[in-house]
Amino acid sequence: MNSKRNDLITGIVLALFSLWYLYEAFSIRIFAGMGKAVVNSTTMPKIWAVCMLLLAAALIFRSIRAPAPKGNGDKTSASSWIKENSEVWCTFAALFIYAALLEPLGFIIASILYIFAQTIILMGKENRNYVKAGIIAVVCSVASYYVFVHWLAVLLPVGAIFE
Amino acid sequence: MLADVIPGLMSVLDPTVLFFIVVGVFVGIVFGSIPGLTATMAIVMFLPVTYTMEPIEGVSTLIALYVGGISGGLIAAILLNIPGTPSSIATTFDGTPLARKGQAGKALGVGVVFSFCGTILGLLVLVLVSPLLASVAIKFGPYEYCTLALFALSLVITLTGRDLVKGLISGLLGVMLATVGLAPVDSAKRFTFGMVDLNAGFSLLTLLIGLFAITEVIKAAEDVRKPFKAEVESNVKIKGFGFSWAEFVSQKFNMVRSSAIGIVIGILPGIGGAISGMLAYTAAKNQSKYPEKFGTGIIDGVVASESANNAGIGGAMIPLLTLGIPGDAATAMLLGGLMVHQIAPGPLIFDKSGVEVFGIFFALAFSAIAMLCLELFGIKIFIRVLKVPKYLLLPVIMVLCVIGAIGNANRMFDVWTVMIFGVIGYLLIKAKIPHVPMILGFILGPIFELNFRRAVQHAQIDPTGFIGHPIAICFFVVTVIVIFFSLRRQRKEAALLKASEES
Repeated sequence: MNSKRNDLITGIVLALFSLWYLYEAFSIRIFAGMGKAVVNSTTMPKIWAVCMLLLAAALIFRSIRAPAPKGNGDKTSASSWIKENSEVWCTFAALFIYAALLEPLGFIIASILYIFAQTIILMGKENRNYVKAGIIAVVCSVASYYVFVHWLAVLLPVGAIFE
Repeated sequence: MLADVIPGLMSVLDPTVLFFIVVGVFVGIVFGSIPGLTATMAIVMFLPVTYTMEPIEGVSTLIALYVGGISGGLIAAILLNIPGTPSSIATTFDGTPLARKGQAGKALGVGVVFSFCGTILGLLVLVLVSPLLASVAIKFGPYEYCTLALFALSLVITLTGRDLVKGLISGLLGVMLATVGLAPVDSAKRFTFGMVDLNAGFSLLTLLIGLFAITEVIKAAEDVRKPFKAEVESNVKIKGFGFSWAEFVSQKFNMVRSSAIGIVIGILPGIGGAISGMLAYTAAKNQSKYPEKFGTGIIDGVVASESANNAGIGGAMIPLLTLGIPGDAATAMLLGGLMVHQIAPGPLIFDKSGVEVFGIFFALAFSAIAMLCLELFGIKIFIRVLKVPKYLLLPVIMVLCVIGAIGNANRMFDVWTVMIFGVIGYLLIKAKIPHVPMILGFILGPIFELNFRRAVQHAQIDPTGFIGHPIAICFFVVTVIVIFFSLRRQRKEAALLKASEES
C-alpha cells in the first residue's frame, strides 16, 4: 500500500463521510423557540462538514498530483496483505466476539475465552504455549472479577445464562 | 485560598492515600518502562479502580500513575535502547552509549534524580502560575472562551504532525464526533438516529480507550511475525545516586534550562513530552562547550531529556486545572479522571475544590519522591519486568479497559463504542492521521460551539461587543499568526522534500 493510493482512498472515504454528515445535519430538528437566532444547532455541524469536505478534496487533489512512486516493489495485492496480517483480523474478531459474549456468558467466562484467544494470537507460532495461556486467562479473569465486584463495587455482567 | 493548603496536605498524608501513591507510581513506572505501554494506558487501566475511591484518593492515584509513567520510560531507554515512552526518545541518545560503556548505573541514577528535579521544578511553576491564570480566566466570557478554544485547536493541529491537512482532518473528526448527542444551548438532538444511548454523546473515556489501548493490541498483533530482539542490559550497579555531587552541580544550568523548556512545552496544548525532550537535548547540545561529545555517552544528554519531560507534567497541569484544556492524551485521561471524581477543572477550581487542588499539588510532590525512591532502590524489579513478554500483558490490559468502559456509566453500549473507536483508530494509523488532535478536537469542539453560540447571541444585541474584549482579540490575532507561520513552514518543508526527491 503506497502513500499515494492510501491518501486517495482516505480522501474519498472522508469526502463521502462529510457528505453524509452534511445531509444528516440538514435533517436535525431545531427547537422552534430559537427561531430568530442566527446560529442554531445545525450551524456548526454544517460548517464542520464543509471544512471536512474541503480537506478531503485537498487530500484527493494532493494524491493525484503526487508523483507515482518509483519502482514497482510495492505491488502487494489485497488478498496477500490480508493473509500476512491474519493476526490483526483475528484480534479484531476476538475483541468483537468478546464484546458480544459479555452479556450472554457473563464477564468471567467471556474474559477467560478472550484472554486465552488473544494470548495465543499474540504468542506467534514459535512459542505458543496453551497451558500458560489457559492459566493466565483463568487466574486473571476470576481475580479481576472479584476485585472489581467485591472490593471496588463496579457492576460487571453476570451472564444471562446464570440468571 | 491559602486556608486550603493545610487541609490539602492532611488529605494526602492519610496512610491509604500514601499507599495508593506508592502503588500508582510503581505501576506507572512498569507501564512507562515497557515499550508500547504508556502513561496514558496506565491511567486508562486504573481509572475503574478509582471509581469508588474518595476523590482525593482517586485523583492522587491517577497523578502517581502519570508521574511514574512519564519517568519510567528512561529505564527502557537506557537499558534496552528503546524509549519506553515517546517522551524518553532523547534519553536513548546518550543513555544507551553510557550503558554500553558499563555505566548503566550512572545513567539510571542521573536520569532518575533529574526526573525528580524536573518534576519538582514543574510543580513549583504549577503552584505559582495556576492561581494567577485562574484569576485571569475567571473574567473570561463567551468571546474569550470561543477564541481560546480556537487558539488551542490551532496550536494542536500545527504542532502535532508534519502534515497540516491530516492534522486538521484529525481535529475535525474529533469535533464532529463530539457533535453527537444533545446540542449545547438548546439541547436539540443531533446525529442520535433515534438511539437513546447516543443522547448523552460519546464519552471521552471510550474514545481514549479505543484510540490508545485497542490500537496498541492491534499493533502488537501486526508485529507478531517480525523478529524482535532486545537485549536487556542487566549489569546494573547503583551506589548511592550513581554520580557525584560535583557532577550534579555541573548540570544545574542544563537542568534549569531543560525544565523551563519542558514546562513551556507542557503548557502549550498538543505537543507533549516527546518533543520537549528533543528540544531540550538540542538546546543543551547547542549551548554546550563540548557539543561533539553529545551522543557518545555523557550525562548532559540524559539530564536535558529527563528533566524536560518530567517538568512537562507540572506545565501540562496548568491549563488542565485552570481552563479544563488538556495538552495531550495522558492529561486528557486525567481530565476524565477529575470529572469522574466530581472535580470540575476551570477558573473556579480553587474556590470550588480548593482542598482537592492543593491535595493534587502535594500528591504530585509525594509521587515525585516515591518515584525517586522506587527507581533508585527497586531498579532490579523493573529490569525483571522488562523481560515479561508483551503477549502476556496486553490481553489482560484489554480486559481491564473493558471494565473501565463498562464501569464508566454501567452500560454495555460503551464497550461497543470502545471497539468501534479501536477500528477507527487503527484505520487512522494506516492513513497516517495523528490521534492527538482528534482528542483535543473532541474536548475543545463543544467548548468552542457553546461559547460561539453565546457570543453570537451577545453580538446580535451589541454588534460592537467584540471590541471590548482585548483578551479575545489577542487570542484571535495569535491564532491567525500561528496558522500563517505553520502554513509557511509547511510550504518550505514541502519544497525541501520535493527538492530532495528530485536530486
